[in-house]
Amino acid sequence: MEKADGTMIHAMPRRTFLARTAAAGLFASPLLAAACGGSSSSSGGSQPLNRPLAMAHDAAVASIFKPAIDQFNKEYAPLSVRFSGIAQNYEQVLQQRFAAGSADVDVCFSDPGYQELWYENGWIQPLDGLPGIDQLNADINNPDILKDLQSSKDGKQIALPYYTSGFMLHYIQPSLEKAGIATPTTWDEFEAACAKLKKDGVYATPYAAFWDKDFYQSAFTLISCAMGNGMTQLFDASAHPTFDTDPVMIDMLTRFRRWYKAGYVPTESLGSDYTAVNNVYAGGKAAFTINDAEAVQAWNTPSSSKVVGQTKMALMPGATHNTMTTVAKWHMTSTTPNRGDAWELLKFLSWKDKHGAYYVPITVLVGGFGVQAPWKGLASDPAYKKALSFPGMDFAVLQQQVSLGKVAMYPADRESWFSGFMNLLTTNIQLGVLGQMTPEAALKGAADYARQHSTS
Amino acid sequence: MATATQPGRPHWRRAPHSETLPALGFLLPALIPLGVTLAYPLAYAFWLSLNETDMAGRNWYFVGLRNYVSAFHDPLFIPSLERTLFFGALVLVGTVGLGLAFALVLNTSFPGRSIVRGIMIIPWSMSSVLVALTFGWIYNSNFGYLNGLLLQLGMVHTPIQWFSTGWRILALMALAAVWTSAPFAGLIYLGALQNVPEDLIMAAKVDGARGVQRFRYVTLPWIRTTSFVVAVIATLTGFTVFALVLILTGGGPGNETNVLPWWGYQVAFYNFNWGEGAAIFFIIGFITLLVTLLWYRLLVHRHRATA
Repeated sequence: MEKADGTMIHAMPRRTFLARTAAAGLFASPLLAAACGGSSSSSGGSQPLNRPLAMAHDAAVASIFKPAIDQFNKEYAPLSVRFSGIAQNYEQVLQQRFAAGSADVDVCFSDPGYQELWYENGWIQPLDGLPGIDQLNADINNPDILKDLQSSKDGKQIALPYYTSGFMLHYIQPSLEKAGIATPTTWDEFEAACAKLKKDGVYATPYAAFWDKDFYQSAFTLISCAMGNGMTQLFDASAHPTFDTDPVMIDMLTRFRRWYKAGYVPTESLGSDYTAVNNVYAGGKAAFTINDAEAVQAWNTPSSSKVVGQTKMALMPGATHNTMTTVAKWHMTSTTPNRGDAWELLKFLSWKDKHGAYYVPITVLVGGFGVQAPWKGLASDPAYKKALSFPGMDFAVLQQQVSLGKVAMYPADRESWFSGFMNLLTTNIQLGVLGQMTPEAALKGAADYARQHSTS
Repeated sequence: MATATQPGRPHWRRAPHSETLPALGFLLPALIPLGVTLAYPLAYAFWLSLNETDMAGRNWYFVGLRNYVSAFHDPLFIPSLERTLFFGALVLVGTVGLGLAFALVLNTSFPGRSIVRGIMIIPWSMSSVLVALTFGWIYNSNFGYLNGLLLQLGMVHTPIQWFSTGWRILALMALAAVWTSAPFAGLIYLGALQNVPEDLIMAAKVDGARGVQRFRYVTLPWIRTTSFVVAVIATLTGFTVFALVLILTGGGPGNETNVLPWWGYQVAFYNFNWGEGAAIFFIIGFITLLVTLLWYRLLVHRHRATA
């Protein structure tokens, strides 16, 4: 073939073209396959870390953790850490990554119900023998919490404390004063206050109840309210359930049903989420809510609240005013290449920084979340008290409620069936509230699930 | 009046054997990633559905169809199936109906038509999580735009608690799903409408067919294959709903918005029953396939056979 300028074009016959491109395709295929399937496995040990450490957490709290990340990167250079955020269902998604071998983080946290499961599956590793761990343990202010950090199978320590929290009563003081209602100290008083506020038209739904489809909200609310009225444990020492025959627990769920039926609670509370319920209270649409002190700061921030300066904290109503103490924990993953570096990060996140200051407990937990850390040294730390002195925070009430906190789900919360139990109990609580199951049947259904699995 | 039919498929020349190997060579770079990302996970999941495993998947016990039987006998199965069918039906009707309506409007001439076409792709391109969060705010009873609008228009006097009962929540979630899928369906329909031969329309006009008749006997038959595609997309959207349930309700109140995909997720990732979870997802896949075959029979095969 000839071009316009007279030079020749060497035309390639169709068959030659096909053969050559096919050969190129065959050659490229294994390369592509290798590129897709290529992976390198890492094993726990002390290999040098040629990337930042990674900590897994809910993505929603990234901004709260940012000062801590910056502080670590400054203080521990050349070590550095990156925040590996998980957008929704943190524990479920992280588990999926663990099971798939692609978690790719050095440190992670867990809420109650997961640590033993992760340890049994080899996804997190024991911390015994790491430098300074005895000193750290000696600073824990509650022996129950120390016990909770250990595996129930081999007694090895598999966690450090992250935060502790407990539910309490929050109320809008001016509304109660205007209606001539005293702060409720029993559940009967609470119910009477709701009835009056509704009857007087002060609030259409006086109680912003966290009864959404989240175990850490709806079940925690029910258990904490029942503990306020004298219940002590959900399970016996062998992880067999006792709560379904506990008259206090049955009575509490019966009350929930009654309050729902009477219209004290927004009916959509059960079909929404934490944010939606929180907005009911922060938006001035309810007189009461029951939760931990996490949102107190937000309720007193004008940009996110209509109840600034009006919301007060009170002990959980009931016969004993107890509440359920929950402990979230930090873990070191089994795949971290360098235990020493991961340990430095763990200590920083849980306890003290390089200079001996409780940086994360004060800056992130108290200052950011409004939750507590279980360290003896904090009580005398002036920075701690200063961090707690934001508007709306009643330090005395908080300390009193914390002292009335009890661990309630031990030892069942470390069994492999606990996650399924959490899911079922949450659903059954809602069915009990809706009246689709009797309170007795709702609790028994969840307890039977636990019984069936704890004995199998 | 005779209905219009699309031209038949071209008859492709059978490739000579000497070209088979080069053709395979061309295909391999595409087939390998497809095999890795699609065929292997599917085969793995199917094998998983025939086994019981521990949480980390270290020990496997072959149980045959027991996971499927167990899923069918679970008291949550039938109610979840009913909700899934209800949700899927709403999404299907909404997507096909609104999509066609959008396309008919966009097929006419008006100023800014090209801008509107561009805007229509936006809902489809939004992440399902973002859509769920957005609609969560719209439906919020205290601060949501929907109640705000109804109150300002004087149509209601007290805010409606939209998320209080299951069927209503499912319908509202279906509306969110339709909001995402209908504009895209509209664009697909628009492409088909623009291929309806003008001479057929003209012939129908000459025959005295009015607008509705022309649409019924000329346009609709011509876009039947497109309707099949849209129906399949809508069926998939409806039967695999997940993010809306995850973000908005978690399956609540009680189990009132517990649809099959959410139930399967719970069985797998809360109860760690990987085998039964996989079985539930294959059941969803099978039901979706059945419905797709039904659309094929109704919209494509029957008319091809009579053409």
